Amino acid sequence: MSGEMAFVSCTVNSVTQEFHVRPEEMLIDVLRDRLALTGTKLSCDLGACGACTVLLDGKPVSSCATFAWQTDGMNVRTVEGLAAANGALDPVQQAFIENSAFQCGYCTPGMIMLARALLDRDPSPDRETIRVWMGANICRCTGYEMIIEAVEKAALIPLETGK
Amino acid sequence: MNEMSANLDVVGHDTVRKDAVPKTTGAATYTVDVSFPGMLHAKVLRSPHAHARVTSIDASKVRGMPGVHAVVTRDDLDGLNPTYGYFIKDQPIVAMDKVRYIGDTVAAVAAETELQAVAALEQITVGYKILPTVATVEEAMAETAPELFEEEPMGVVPAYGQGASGARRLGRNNCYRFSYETGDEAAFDRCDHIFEDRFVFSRDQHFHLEPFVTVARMDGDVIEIWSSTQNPFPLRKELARVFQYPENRIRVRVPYLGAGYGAKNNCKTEPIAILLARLSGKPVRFCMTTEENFLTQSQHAAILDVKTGVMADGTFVARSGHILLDSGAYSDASPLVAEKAGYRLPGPYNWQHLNIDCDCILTNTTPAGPYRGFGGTQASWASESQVDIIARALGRDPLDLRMQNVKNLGEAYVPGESGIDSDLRAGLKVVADRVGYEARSRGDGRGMGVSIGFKDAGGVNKPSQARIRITTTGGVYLECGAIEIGQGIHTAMSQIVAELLNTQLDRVVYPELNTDYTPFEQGTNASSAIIGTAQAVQQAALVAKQKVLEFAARELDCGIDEIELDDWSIRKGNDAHPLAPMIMGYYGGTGYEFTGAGFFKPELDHAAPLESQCVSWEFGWGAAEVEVDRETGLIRLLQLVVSGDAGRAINPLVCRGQDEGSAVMGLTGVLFPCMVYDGAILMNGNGLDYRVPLATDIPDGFVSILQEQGHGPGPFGSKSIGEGCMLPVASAIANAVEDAIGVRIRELPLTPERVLAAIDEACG
Amino acid sequence: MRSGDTAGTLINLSALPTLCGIEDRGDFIRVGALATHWDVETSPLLATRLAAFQAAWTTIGNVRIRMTGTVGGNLMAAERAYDGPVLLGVIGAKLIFLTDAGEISLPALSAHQDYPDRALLTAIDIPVSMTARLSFDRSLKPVVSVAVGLDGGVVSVGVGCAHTTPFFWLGRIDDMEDALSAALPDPIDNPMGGAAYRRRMVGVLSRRLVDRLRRGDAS
Repeated sequence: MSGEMAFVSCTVNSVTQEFHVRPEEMLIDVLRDRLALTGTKLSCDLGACGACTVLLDGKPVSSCATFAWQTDGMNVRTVEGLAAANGALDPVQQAFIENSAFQCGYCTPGMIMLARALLDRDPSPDRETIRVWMGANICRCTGYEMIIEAVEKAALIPLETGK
Repeated sequence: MNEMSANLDVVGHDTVRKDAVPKTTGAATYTVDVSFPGMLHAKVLRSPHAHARVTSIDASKVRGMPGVHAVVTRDDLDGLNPTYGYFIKDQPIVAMDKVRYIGDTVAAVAAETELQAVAALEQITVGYKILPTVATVEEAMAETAPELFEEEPMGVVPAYGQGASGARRLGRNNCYRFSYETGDEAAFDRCDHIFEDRFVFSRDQHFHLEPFVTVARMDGDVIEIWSSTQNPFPLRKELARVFQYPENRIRVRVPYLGAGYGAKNNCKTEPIAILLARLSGKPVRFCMTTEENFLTQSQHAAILDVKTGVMADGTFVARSGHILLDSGAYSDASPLVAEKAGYRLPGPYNWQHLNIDCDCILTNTTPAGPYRGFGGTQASWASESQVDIIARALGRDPLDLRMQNVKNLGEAYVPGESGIDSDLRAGLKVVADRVGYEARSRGDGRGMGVSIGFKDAGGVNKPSQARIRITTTGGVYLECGAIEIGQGIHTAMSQIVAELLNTQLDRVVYPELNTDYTPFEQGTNASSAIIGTAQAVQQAALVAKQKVLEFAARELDCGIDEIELDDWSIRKGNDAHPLAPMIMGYYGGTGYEFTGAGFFKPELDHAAPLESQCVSWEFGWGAAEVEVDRETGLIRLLQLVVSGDAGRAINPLVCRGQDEGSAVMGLTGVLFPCMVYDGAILMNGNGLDYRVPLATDIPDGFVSILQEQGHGPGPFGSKSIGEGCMLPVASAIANAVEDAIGVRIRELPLTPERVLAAIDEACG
Repeated sequence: MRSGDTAGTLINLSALPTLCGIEDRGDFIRVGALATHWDVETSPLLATRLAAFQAAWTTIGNVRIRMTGTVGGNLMAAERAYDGPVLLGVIGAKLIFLTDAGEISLPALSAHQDYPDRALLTAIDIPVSMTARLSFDRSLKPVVSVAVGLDGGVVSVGVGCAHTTPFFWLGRIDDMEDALSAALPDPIDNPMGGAAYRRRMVGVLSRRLVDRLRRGDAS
């Protein structure tokens, strides 16, 4: 490709999406502007803060630092796609709610996706593992302890099947 | 856990936050999410020079570029009052005669895409005549320093009460001085010991994750904006002045805020978004980048000279102080921060004499403004560090010396002020016990320190209004101007109202703020919502409830004291009378709404130094344990114990989040470099290079302990909790460092290099 | 990208599986340039044969960055604060480039001084030694980081962050302190970190790391 539009076919929250994107178009802009999935938040725009974290084939990535064309053939999951088909919230969401593990909420979708990726790999992580893993994303409000406790709690909530 | 709440159904319980589901599912709308068809995107051209005269601006090439709909330079400000500020209106919407810091706004463009706007900015030609730069307060105060403002900008000095005063332009680049004095200066002569120390305070940036952002459009002749702001009503007033427009033709709407920590007060993105929307006739979104946030607002760096006289037995006698705040390029909120830094420097101790000046010095750097703690962080750093210095010099334990000198519960802070509404000794004991202060073992570079963070809460002469509307079927509208900035105020206010109306929490809704409908509120700042706005809300709820009861008593033909409101029924003896049919029976089948209005404002009082007595006093007790690496200077934080007094916690879990969040925010200015300037050039103003605390920076020994001492002025005895626990963090850690290695460090942040230099100096 | 940078030519290399693998080549392990930090972190092969390297590499960035960022990207970004070049340098790794003239191999110690023209980094070969050991201290980043490799009496010290490019010193363990200090170029001197402090910390951290390796502690 040379300055041309790239064709991308990917799955976003279990729905197939097809786009022509400019080579320099970022995933977050496709999610927010084309799909109206505004739960994913842009902040530092350098891949540092993690507010824009989504799951790409299960891996937590900064959608501000991921080119849209990189998602071709892949599964993208955002905070809007976490709840089960029956509407039941994901255990991570439930635990964040019960633990008040958010304040302004701007980092929260990214934090939740980051935690989901951890529990997908390690269903019962110890506190230190959680601290290191969640150390990837910035929260300026909470001081992190209530987030870490929420992830501990989420690990104890069974995942709804059949999503 | 919370004995006082035993009889309450909603208040005192860890209810799920009202904003929980939207914020965890991505459904919550922030200003960044507001969008309209045909909406344009604004970008601004920023000054590459720290100080320069603008000799020419040519934007002619931009007009007609692809997608460009509007351009603003100093030539497009006809009919406007184009400068803004708090006490002093010195900051222009776009540069007029000069630019005063790297990043100062020079021009703005609205285009169909951000990329088009960026491309257009590159076609604007600006002529600059470079001027000498002042990057620090010392440089700015030098006799030969260039003035940032050769002419005095329009501004005011407000009225002050007993002992306080304000003044402008007392020296080079000095934009404001606040002074406070009480008692006889001769008190110093009676002292056995005088301590004089200079402390330096670091300059953090708020690092709110949602940037400064506004969406503006013209709705007929109404200027309508959605903005990420903490003070929509004063903002509306300022915009009305800038645009020479009636206040009631400006509509400010505030969705959820992606935090602010003080930064989102007064004009930021608003004037440019509005101007471009007016010029283009289209909705305009102006959303800054993180890098631009760093060029828009910061905390105040400070130099604090503190002189304290004490008796041989440790009794505090007199204190004088001179504070220099680095205000950056414009006055912004500096005069207000100066009031509080100066007024809070004494700390919660007994003094016979106080004499404090706080100067705001303009420099060619990012404008400094409100930041959580608001001068109290700077004051607590100096005051609580010096208490330890005094204790060690007198051979006293620092904890003991505090216990000896702190004010008693109920004692007036200074003459004319309200009484201290927390038991300071009890609070200090909580953190000292938890950290293990008395039984601490030293050696191996380990040590512990304590501190009392202190500020007045509730702002100055700050009015709040509120309205409660109850529908026929018992749905409650809670209408007030306290903004959900993350602190949980929607939840806490709703709990208070549900409790007062004896109804279920989920019947209460808290409509989005819209200045056309929402009752007036001076702002969500100064830890004022729970002690100020909530009193207005409480009154509104009780007025509405009284109307309901009077109506029901008339309908039931009984005395008002025979009935009670219970989940939108009237209980009379053992009988329950549902209200909905009763209301429709009288008002008709289409129903009715009961309303109650509430108001709160501290009384004006010339005997009080700041013209009204402080509503409440906010404390954060802190204790730290550190281990210092003597070869590298690296401080390892082993324990950080903080505690705030919520008076009575409306929602304990939410209060915990405030204590822990503010304490960790306070760590930024201690353990990380903060804003590092090389001359007037900011070196680390972006999300990669700027370090804020991460989960991995927090020790396992970090804990918060919520106290509920029960003396607060807010509903159910509540007190403010949002800022207290950041105030003691820096001094508790520096005190622990001295406990660990016998080295006193008076300058923040405590970077390894600085700590090692202090160790070297102590070792001679 | 948001500020208007555009891509002229876009070549998607992630489609080339040969660039991603981590393979046992006997006396060295070949890590593909597009292997992610996460691939390194979770490689059973590296866990068995280069455990200290794997542990040190796992301190890079954070989980988001490690899952996406690649070993090759860490090197070729040539960012002063990145740890990759220092770690690979002190363990004697070689960078494999594909050039117009075919494949060439350059020591990680010196490659950054003069990358070949029109070349694509394809892999990094890391020698496997029964005797070589590695230790790393990044606690003073972004002011300075130090990695130390030790093999018998020979020590290699890699200094990151303190200069515009990584600095390496190889020598005998017995005269490391003086010789390293003499060889160390003047570090960057700016308000983020003074040159004297950076220089002194290179001495402190390298001595500590060597002591740690001599005691046999894990990195």
